[in-house]
Amino acid sequence: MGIGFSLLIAIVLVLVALLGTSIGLNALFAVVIPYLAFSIFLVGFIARIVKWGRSPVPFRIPTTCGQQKSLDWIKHNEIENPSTKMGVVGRMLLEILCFRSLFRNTRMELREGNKLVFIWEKWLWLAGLLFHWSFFIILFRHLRLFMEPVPSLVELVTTLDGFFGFGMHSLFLTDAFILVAVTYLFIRRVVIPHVKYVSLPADYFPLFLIFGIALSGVLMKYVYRVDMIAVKELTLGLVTFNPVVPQGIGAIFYVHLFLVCVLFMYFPFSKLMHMGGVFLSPTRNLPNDSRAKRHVNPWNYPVKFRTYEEYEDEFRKFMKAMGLPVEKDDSKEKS
Amino acid sequence: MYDKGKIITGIVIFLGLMTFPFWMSLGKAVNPPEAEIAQQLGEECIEDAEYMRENHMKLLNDWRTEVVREGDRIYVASDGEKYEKSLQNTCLKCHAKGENPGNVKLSDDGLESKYKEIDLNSVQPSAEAYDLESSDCFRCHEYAAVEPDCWDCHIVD
Repeated sequence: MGIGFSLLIAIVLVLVALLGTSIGLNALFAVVIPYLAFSIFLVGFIARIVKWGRSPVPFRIPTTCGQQKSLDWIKHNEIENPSTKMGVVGRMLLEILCFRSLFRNTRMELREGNKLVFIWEKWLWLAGLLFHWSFFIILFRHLRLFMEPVPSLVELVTTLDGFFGFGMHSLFLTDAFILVAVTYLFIRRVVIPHVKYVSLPADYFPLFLIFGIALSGVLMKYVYRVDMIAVKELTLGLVTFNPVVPQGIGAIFYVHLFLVCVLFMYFPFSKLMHMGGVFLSPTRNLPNDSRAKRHVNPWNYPVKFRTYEEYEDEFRKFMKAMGLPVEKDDSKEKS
Repeated sequence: MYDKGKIITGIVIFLGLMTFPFWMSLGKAVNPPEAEIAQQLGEECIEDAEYMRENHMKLLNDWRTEVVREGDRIYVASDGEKYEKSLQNTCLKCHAKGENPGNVKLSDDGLESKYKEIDLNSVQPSAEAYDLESSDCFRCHEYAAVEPDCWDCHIVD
C-alpha cells in the first residue's frame, strides 16, 4: 500500500512536469517553481532547526560504546566515549563522514531453535555510505552549472569522478553508485519483513523521488541529450536573479528539474531533515562527563524551599518539649 | 532557544553554503558563448544547430569509430550533403581561427581523400595553425566545464 502510493505520487510528478512543459508552462517550471522550492527549503530548514533548538536537553544522554574516562590506569576510549569537546568533534566527524554507528550494525537471528546469533551485516552501511557520498559529489559537480567561471575544485572532482569512460564519454562513477545504492536501499525495505513492517510512504517516497532524479539525470547525460549551454544559461540566470527561459531544452530536463524542486520543497517536512538533525543528536553530540561535572537542568525553575536549619529554628522548642533530637541546642549554648 | 550560539553558527554556515553560488555570481552577468567564428564566416553546420548542440559529442564519437575502425571517411548529412569525417578538415575549418596545421590534406575533389604518408615527428605546425584557445569548441566547453578529449590524440602543437 505504502509502496504503491509513493510510486504513484512519483509517477504523477513526472507526468506533471511532462504535461506542464508540453503545454508551454516552461517559465513556471524553469523559474517560479525553482525559486519557490529553494525558498521553502531554506526557510523550512531553518525553522525546523530553530524548533529543535528550543527543545531542552535536560540530561546528559550520550549513548556510548567505549570505556568512559575513569582512573588513569584504565584505558579510556576518547572517540567512542568522549570526555571533552574535542572528543565529541572527533566522534561527530566519524559519525557524519563515515556513519560510524551504522558500521556497528549486526543482524540478529535465531539459529537451531533458540540460539540467538549476531551476524556480520555491513551492507546497509556500505549502501548508505555510497548513496550519501555519491549524492554529495553529484550535487557538488552540479556547481558547474551555477558558477561562471567554474571553480577548479569542481572541475577536478568532475574529472576524477569521470575517470572511467566509454568511447569519448566519461562515465561518472557516482551516477552508477547512486542508482545501485538507492535500488539496494529500496529492495532491502521490501524484502526484509521486519523492515517492511516499519516502512511508511514517507520512507518509500524519498527513495522513489531520488531514484527518479538520478535516473532522469543519467538519461539526460547518456541517452537523451539536451543543450547544456542553454541549461547553464537558465541556471546562471536563476543565481544572478536574471531569470531567462531559453528555448529548446528537452522535456527530460524539466522532469529532472521538477523532481529536484519537489525534493527541495519536501525536504524540511520529511525525514530528510536528518541532514541537519544529525548535528543535533544529543546521544552523539554531548561529552559523557556527568561524573566529572554537575549539569543543571536548564529548565529548573527557582523553587522556594526551606532548609532544615530554618525549620528547626522555628520548631526547636516544641521538638525539645517532645523529646525529639535537635541539631542545635540553644539551652546548652546559653549555659 | 538553548545553545543559541552554536545553533545560530550552524544556521549561518548552512545558509552560507547553500547560497554560495548566489554570492559568487553577485552582480555578474555572463552571456552564454556562441559559435562566433562559424557565424562570422556565415557557414552552415553539417546538421542543424539544435541537433549539433545536443549531439555533436555523439556524432564525433561515431565518426571516430567509423573512421578508425571501419575506414569510412564520408559523412552523409541528413540533407544529403557529403562531408569528410574529420575534426581538422571539417569542424575546425569553421570553428577555429587559423589554418589546418597541414598533417592531413584533402584531394582535389574534396571527398575521396588520399592521405599522404606522414611522419608525425616531422610535422611543423605553421604560424597560423588553428588557435584552439579561441575556438568555438574551447569557449563553449570552458563555459560548460566539460573537457573534450579530442586533443588527447589530435596533435595540435
